[in-house]
Amino acid sequence: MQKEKTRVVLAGIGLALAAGYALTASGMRTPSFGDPVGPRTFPYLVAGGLALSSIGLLAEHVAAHRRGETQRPEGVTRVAVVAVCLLAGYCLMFEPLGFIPATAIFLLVFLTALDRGALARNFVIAAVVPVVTWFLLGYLLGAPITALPG
Amino acid sequence: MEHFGALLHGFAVALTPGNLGYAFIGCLLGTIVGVLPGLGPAAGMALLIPITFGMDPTAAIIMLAGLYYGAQYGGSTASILINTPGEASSVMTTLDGHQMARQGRAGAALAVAAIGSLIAGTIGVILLSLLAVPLARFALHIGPAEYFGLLLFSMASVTSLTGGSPAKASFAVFLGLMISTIGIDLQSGMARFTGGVVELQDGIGFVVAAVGLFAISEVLFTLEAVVKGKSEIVPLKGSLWLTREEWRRSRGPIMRGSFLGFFKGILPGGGATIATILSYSLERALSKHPERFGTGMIEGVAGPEAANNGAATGAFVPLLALGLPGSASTAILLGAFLIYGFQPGPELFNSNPELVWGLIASMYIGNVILFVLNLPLIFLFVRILYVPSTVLMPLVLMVACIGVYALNESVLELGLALGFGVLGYAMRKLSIPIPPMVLSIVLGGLLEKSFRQSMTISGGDLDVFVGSPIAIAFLVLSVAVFVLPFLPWRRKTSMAEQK
Repeated sequence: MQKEKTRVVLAGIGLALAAGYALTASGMRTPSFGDPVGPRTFPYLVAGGLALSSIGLLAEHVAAHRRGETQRPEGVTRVAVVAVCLLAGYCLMFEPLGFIPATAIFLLVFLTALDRGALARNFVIAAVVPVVTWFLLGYLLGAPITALPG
Repeated sequence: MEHFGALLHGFAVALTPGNLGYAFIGCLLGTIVGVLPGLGPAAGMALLIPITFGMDPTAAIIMLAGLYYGAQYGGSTASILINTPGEASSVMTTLDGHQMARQGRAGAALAVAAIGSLIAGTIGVILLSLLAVPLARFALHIGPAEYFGLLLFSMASVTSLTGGSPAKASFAVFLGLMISTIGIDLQSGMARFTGGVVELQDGIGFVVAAVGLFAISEVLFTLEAVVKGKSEIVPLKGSLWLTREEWRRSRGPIMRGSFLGFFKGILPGGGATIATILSYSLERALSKHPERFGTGMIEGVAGPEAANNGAATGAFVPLLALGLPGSASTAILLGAFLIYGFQPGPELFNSNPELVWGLIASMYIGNVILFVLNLPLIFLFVRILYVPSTVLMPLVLMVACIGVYALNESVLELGLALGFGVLGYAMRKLSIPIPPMVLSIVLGGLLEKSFRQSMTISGGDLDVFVGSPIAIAFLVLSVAVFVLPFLPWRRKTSMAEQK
């Protein structure tokens, strides 16, 4: 049976982050007057805390292994990956295309990916919602979202 | 007597047509947010904050607070009708509330939740009015070293009381503290951890982090749940009121839940969720028929719902008096205060009394608004549950993007929010609690500032942190609270709660 290694992986990431963080902080100069602590001390403390937490994770892993706990976290699902990719595309389209076209495309593709059987409904939502939302938030409330490109 | 005068002035502020309107909008939005599974009050407030820019700050804070405690009301609806809590603090309501719905008593369950929330909210606001000022006066006596100890205690409490793994919780805290150090160091003028990116010199805004960690990651999780299987909605039929017997059985749990919830809400860590667990356990322990809990006992709904609202109100005591948030939701509220240029704490009562007392008075009014909204309009709110999540969730993502973009018109911040969304999703998968991370992002700057101020005052001498009884007390409490999860009896309780 494959052992559950989530805590070990997290601990490794934590230790690497702590080391990189402390190394970056060590490059900061401390002013020669006023503040006896400087901009580095707090980051050092945080790096130390993160390292200790990572060691704590390793200790929990050992304790869990001794108790025979084998529960593994659920994996990443296809719907989450698709949602993140679509959202990334939406973020990239937001300025070049303007709010209304970018949102219409985003909603149409996303709604269709989730429910292909309701194509007509998806078209209506993708056509109406961006316009109404821009009118309410952008036009009436003054949110800085440009309706169209340029 | 002076409090009474200040409270009257607060009512004068809260009862202006504009502020009354915003309180109503906040309560309405909060109820909707609470009804919708997948969106909690923290996510709702994070989404709303950018839209409040340009509003009068007092009105904006009143609306956000309305959303916060409105969500406590709305959360019970989804718990009772679809066995899915609208937010974390409504989990205990599912145990007996949904069973009552299956037995045709959904109306009574919803009614007792609304009545319990009204009573608890009103008791809570009265206690808040009485306690906030003495606590604020006490806080005037604490300096940077004592404040450092207090912040440490707050963060240690949230770390130890959230989730079953102390190491994971402290991992989240230190990750949050790392993020809080990104940007220009105000005391030295040096850019830290910006990687040369100019836009990061202002740091990573907590709204960006909160929208990503709460709203976006919750949407991803909700979509997964939707794809796995549909939730059955129990139709709401019949009377929306209690029988005389049900009211007799509910009175005690409501009163006990109100006080238990309020005083638990004052303590940082766990928020309303732990208050509801404690209330449910108490009612089961006091009941003559504990074996019937989980089969539709009205006491199992009345107590936790009252505790839920009591805790939501109690959380305002440390927030307003000390500037200390005890949960993710109040951390978002603190962030909102800071964005508007207000520093919650003892000075706020002197510098902006109309804001503080206007907010407290609006909470009295908000409880009445919510009671009026929740019972007559419950059939309308229930309709929201019939809107497919496959339609709602993309719309929530759209609103999230608008909210983040509206902050600084920055595509980089949109990308950061998405990154935080992925991080939040990963954290949920790995059972790493998110509230400690959000808390440390909000409090990290204050923690470092009080640390460095203390060291500057003492000339670099660490003895300043044990130089007064108050500072020592907070440090000892911090250590004690942090060690708590490692005690054997506490670990067993925590593992049982996780199950």
